[in-house]
Amino acid sequence: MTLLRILKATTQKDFRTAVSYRVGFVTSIIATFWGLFAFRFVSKLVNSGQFSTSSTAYFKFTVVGLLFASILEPTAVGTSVSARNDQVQGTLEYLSTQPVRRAYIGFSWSCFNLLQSLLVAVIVVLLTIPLGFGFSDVNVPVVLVVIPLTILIFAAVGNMGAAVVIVLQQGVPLVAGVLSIIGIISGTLFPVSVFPPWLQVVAHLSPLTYALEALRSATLANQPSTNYAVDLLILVGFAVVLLPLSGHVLERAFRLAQRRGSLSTF
Amino acid sequence: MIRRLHAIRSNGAVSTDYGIEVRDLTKALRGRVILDGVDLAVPRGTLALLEGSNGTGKTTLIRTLATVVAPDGGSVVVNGYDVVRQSLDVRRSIGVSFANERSLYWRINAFENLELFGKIAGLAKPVISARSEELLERVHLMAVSTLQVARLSTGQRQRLMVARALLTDPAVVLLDEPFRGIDGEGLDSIIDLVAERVGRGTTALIVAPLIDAIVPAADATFEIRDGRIHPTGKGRRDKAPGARSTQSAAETPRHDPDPDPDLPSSDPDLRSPDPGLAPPDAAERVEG
Repeated sequence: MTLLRILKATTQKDFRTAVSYRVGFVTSIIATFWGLFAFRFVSKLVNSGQFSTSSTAYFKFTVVGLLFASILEPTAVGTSVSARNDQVQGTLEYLSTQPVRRAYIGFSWSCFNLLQSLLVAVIVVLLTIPLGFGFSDVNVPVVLVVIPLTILIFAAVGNMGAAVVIVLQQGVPLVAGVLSIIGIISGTLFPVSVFPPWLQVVAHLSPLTYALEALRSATLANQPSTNYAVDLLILVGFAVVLLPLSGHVLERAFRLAQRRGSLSTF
Repeated sequence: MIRRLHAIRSNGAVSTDYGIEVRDLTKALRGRVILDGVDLAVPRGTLALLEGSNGTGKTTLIRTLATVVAPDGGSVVVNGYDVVRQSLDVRRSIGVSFANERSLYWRINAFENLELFGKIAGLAKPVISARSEELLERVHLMAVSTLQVARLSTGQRQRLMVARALLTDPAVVLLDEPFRGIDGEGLDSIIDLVAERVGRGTTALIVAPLIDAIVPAADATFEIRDGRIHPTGKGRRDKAPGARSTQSAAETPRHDPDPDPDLPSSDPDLRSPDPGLAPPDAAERVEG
């Protein structure tokens, strides 16, 4: 209940702040849509293997990958960015005096970014329909489990990124870079099967690989079938380990910053 | 025989007559010793003023009391809770205003700032509304309460930060330079507001120059110098004959009847508890 209360309060604050910068929301829609628009033409050049069935097969593949990444990236990187903003603005010091567990503050950093990127994703999906994007035989239960589960995992990753920012007073580019690598090796733009064997092994250390495989299989036609039960079990495993671990890491980061006296510096 | 001045309550808090108790506090930051054996005891329901030159550790002390900075050594107890072992309980007990107007969210308005922190603290919406209105009225910000904080003046932001510190009706209020950039009307309103809360049992520590307008409201005044706190004797209770309500370093009560000899202290006298220095009423009120 405490966490929900904090999420609601900070999301409301972030919404009010975002509304005060009206252009931001529109530009994120344009940026996300434009990235996908380019892949509509790239898709015409890709007609091998699983993408040989139609000229939009690869486009659909990337829409799912990039849109899902566009939801997860603000959740994870956005947490570090929000932590850094609070650090630079001077509000981090005050937030750390609030009568709540400091890990809760970490989760609150990702909440508005997540909601905003979900909304952007829905709008961009609607915009891509005229370009040939469409779902077929959607396995709704799988989608409804995979998306929130992966978001939780990436919120935990975001908390750990925020911990880096609190300790190093830098680190947003580092977190963004790591997540970008995770996105590529997890199959956002290409099927993991095209990677060399050693990279495929690395790819399967990332939760996003299992999430994308399950999500594509559950939403698009002509995708390799996957064992949903195994994918979901692995995702649950990541969530069970990473969520409490990230809270612990963030608390430790706050304590280290307390000892150094660096919560009020940037 | 050593008398016990404190008892442990069932919730883990030390039962004490002091809202703030600091003993042998040491803190070094980036290799420089800032606080070097600080002792301070502020009784519940009193207002203490602390002044000091730039860089003497006033803000570091406030940050330590507010759990933003962890002590290197010594003991710091706020509202009966240890700032290291019971930091969440300390944070539930305090209201803070730092000397940093950027601690507000500038893109939302004054009322929304209070609403945000009231909600985080777990106050019900009607309580937040009622208290916010009252506080904004008292610090003369009602007319600008719907303006973005970015559009307020420095003095108005200072007043808003004090209002925010008092929003949860905390047991202990810590204000760091709350009068910076404030006009006469704002200064009076803050002093009246804090004094009223103190009259209702709140403990207040204000870091500010000891200017004439503030000193009469203070029960005790101190100066921080060379990493330590020294009483300056300008407060009301300081001047009262035989009064010992707010204690200086030499009169600091002891938390621990058997202090840890390993605790850092540059003054060996502070390590040996002297029961004769304790306020008699405190000893009589021992629980358990």
